[in-house]
Amino acid sequence: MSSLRNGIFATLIAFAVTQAGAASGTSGRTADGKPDFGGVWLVEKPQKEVKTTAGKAPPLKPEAAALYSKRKQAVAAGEDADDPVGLCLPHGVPRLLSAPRPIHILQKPKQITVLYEANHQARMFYLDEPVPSGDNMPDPTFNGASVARWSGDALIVETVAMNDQTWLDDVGLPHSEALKVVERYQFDGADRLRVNITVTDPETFTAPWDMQVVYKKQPGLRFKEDPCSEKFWHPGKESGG
Amino acid sequence: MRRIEGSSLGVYRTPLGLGVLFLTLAGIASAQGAGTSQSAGQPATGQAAAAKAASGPPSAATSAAAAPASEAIPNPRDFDGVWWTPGYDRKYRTLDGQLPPFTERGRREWEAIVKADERGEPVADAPTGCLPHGIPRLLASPYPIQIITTPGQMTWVHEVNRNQRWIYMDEKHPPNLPKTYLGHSVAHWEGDTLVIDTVGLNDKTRIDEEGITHSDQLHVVERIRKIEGGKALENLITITDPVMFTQPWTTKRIYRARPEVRIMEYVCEENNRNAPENGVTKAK
Repeated sequence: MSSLRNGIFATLIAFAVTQAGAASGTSGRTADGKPDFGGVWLVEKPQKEVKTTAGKAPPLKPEAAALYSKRKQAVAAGEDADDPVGLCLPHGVPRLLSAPRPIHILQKPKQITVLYEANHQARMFYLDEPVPSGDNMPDPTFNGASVARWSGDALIVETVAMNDQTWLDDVGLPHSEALKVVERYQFDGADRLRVNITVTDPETFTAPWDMQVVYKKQPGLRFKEDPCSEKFWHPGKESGG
Repeated sequence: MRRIEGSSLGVYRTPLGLGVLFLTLAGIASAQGAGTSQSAGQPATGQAAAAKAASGPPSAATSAAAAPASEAIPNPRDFDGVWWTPGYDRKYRTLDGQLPPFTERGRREWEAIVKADERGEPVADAPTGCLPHGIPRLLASPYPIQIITTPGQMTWVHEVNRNQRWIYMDEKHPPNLPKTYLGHSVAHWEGDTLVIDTVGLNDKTRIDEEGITHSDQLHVVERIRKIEGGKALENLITITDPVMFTQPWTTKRIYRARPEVRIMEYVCEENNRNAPENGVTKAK
């Protein structure tokens, strides 16, 4: 009787721990068996000037290199008025991944949504859909159109249809509308999320190149409002109208 | 959910018997049903309602119209999906179509804005400056909303100007909240009605686009439930602000399910044809 009771007890406890783990995300797996990336994360080492995973400068074509150099000098001189992020425009990808503010991953089987505290951006990754191309290519936007798929325990996100108004890093790395970004999200230990990013843009770079962003889990951290455009807003002048 | 995990471990450590453990497990299952609606089964309340509808009297069973709508709604607590208000009404009025019960100041401020508008000199408000719309103004916006439920939180991703609402379930507001555009929202279920309570709002937004103003003492309670067999959400919005209104008043918005719609990128800051000049909006 005692052993039967213990057996039932052990089973129930195992169930309870599994269920509690699934609810809190600590078990690392969602109900459908995928790695559970859900929760709030913060980038560990934001790169202002992007380097490849090997620590090198991205392989720019000469014209793009000249533009990058010009922008870098302007930023260094404090003349960064053209920085789209400074104008409260969306960061674009992959710059958004390095924004030094929390992100919140909302993971569902058919859609993974990443909320970014920075300027209230959101990216929607639609699972198991074809990468838009040809007639199905949407109009370009700042953060583009993204689809995703699981490859083992890695989430592969492909993003296209990005306009050329964004910078790829904080000091002006340029790109064209031919930009394609592939992100590979994987756990690196229990509380780190590593993203390997491959950037392809044959109009800007001589070859595809890759970079890496690592996030650390932030249990209990919550978003704060980021009303970016407040710096341009002068409500005191409302009475003029 | 940390709380639930803690309670289950508490039972594990304290051999109080199977009964307590069962109760805890039921609590976890129930919390999951409400919290992760896509992956978990439908909440017990939905099953109970469905069973009740199925076992109803013959007269009700033979006529779908005879069954109260609330009994026919599957997954009444599953709000996940894209919703969109039909049409656009830029004015909030009470449920019987009247102006709200203004204080003297509330009426004076509303009249000044409406008269400026009539003169062709509209006074810009926060969304014109690409700032968050504020609550309750955001709730009338004619752009789609995606609701995403995760453990302990319901997130509303509004297309309009990338407003995001983070609604924390079964919590109290913390003290000493900073005043923000969208405030601090907590929610709980009363039956199959979600009750969202929002405070901590700054006074930089308006109640509606037409020109009803509010102070930073604004308190907004939303009572949201599925209607029309689950094809729509009804939001009864009760507004309390002793500076601008003599008593609380209630208005309403409906959001229709739009599963075919996806939230698009909205960039107010880019090429806004009506961007304010010196704080004044002129239609161009």
